[in-house]
Amino acid sequence: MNMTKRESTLAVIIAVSLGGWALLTWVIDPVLAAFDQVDQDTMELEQDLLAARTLVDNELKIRKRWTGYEKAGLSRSLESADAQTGGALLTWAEDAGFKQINLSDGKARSDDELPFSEIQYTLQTEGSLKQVYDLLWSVRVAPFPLKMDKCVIDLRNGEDEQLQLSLTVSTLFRKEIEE
Amino acid sequence: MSTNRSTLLGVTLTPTSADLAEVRRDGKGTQVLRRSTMVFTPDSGLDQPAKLGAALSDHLEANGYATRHAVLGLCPRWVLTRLKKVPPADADAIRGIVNLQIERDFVGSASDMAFDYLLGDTPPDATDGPLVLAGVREAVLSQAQQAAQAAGLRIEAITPTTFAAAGNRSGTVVLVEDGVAGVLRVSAGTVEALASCQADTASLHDSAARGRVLSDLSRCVMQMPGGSVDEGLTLILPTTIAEADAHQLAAEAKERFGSVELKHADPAALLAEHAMAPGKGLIRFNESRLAPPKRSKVSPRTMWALRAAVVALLVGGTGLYLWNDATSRRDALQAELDAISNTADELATIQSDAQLAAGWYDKRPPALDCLLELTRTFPKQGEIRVETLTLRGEMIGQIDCAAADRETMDAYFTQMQRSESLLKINRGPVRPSGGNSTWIDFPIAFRFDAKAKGATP
Repeated sequence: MNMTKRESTLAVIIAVSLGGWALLTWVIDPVLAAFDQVDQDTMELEQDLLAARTLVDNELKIRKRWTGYEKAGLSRSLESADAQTGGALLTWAEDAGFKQINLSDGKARSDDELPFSEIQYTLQTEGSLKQVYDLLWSVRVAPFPLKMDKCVIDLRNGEDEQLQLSLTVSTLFRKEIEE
Repeated sequence: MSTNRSTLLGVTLTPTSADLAEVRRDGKGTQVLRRSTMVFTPDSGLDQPAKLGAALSDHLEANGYATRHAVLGLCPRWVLTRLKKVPPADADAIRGIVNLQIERDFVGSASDMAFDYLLGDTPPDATDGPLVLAGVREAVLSQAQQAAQAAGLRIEAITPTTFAAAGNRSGTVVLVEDGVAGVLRVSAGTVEALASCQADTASLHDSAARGRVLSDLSRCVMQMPGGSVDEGLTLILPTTIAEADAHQLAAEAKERFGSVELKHADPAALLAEHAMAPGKGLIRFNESRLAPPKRSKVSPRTMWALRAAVVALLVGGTGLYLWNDATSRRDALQAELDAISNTADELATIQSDAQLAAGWYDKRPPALDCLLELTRTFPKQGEIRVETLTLRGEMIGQIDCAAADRETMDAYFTQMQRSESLLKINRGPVRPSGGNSTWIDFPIAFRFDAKAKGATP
């Protein structure tokens, strides 16, 4: 095929452009993408490894904290948690001097995502502000997991400066591992 | 092609002596640093190159020559020259044309000789251009090379002295060396004609001797194409000829040829200067243009393919190295992570559980602190009472109050706002207490932050 110089120049330009495009599309881009992926993986691994090393470096501290919690009365069943908490609440209310004490049954709440379940109680009684303080203090320093969820002190209808207390507290227990 | 050396030794050889000059080139031009002449002894001539080389080496040492990069000039006596015309062509074609002309012009002796050529510029409208062909006996060339190597010289070129001495001159140039005159007619840097003749300069103090030299020269010039000296004549005489004799010869040459310029100079210095002049070609018997090109056994296409393969290998090799480096690092990190992942996962679970359980342990809501702070802010004066206090586990609460008047209410609200641990205090709508009472009821919402400055411990 006889081509003029211009035609052959155009043919070379087209061939080089097509070749360059093919090289870019099927060789260079995939290779660069593969390198990018490795870089991305490496970066993520570095982050994961840093987090893992941090945990391992603090292993003693983490385990010690948890062991402390377990030793501080974390029950492993609903029954033992219920017995522990219900009994303690009644005892504290009596020790604080409350006479008429109404304690609800423990209401268990559970979330499948979490390793713990809660039991919530509502104690209703009537007494003085000091008695309320004493009861709240007992809740505050309880030797097992316990926290106040809600406290309503109603001073309107009480006689002789008596106030009505509605105290809602909850405790934790560890779910039994199903075998 | 000229040498790019800044210092060069010019050595012009004749059968009986060698003329030497060390020339340095700088930005301003060339400078002859030193020069000398070595006369050969009977047992150290060119026919005994080893001894000649040793004697030359001693001479160089004794005279303080520093450089050993040299250009050797062969005197006109040894060099045969022809001026040819060749059409514009590539190097292979020129080589072929010149080889044919050598076979024709030097029948029977071509095999004993070494040749080289120099192409002149072809005029734009001409169909052929000048080519100077020079030849020397192989034996002479070989001896010169051996002597130079024995003297420890590094040969840049072995070239006829005549052409080098002509330099950039125009017109007729005559170089007299060792009893032979080389004659060139040069125009615009291109040799137009050349010839040689006898020129016995041993007795130039004698007018008859001078007359014979000039007659031989005159005959030689007349026989050259053109036949006369149009642009003047440059007469180059070596410094071995006495200055007075040289000037006398030049004066008498002027009577014959008209304009004569005498250059009483060392051919060796002229040789070195010419070899260092940029853009100047040299006849090089030692690297002849007539030597067949070294042809690769590999075709150009195969060479390009090989080059492309080498480039591809380099690129691929580099890519592979980088890939291995990147993946090795990634794999090492993965291996290290795998080694501790079980422990890390377990610890992460324990840590997460502990954080969840913390609210029931060491992060219990400070309800009592909140009550104490509320008590502290309660006004000591005024008729106001708290009817209901509601406090949630996250220490967000509301206190429902009743006050005898707005001033008392405002005072209490202001007092609460002054507390640094009671935050986000908002007073709700005020309503009459109802019935016959003039009291007003109002709620105040708040958030208790035990860590705020000033919280009651």
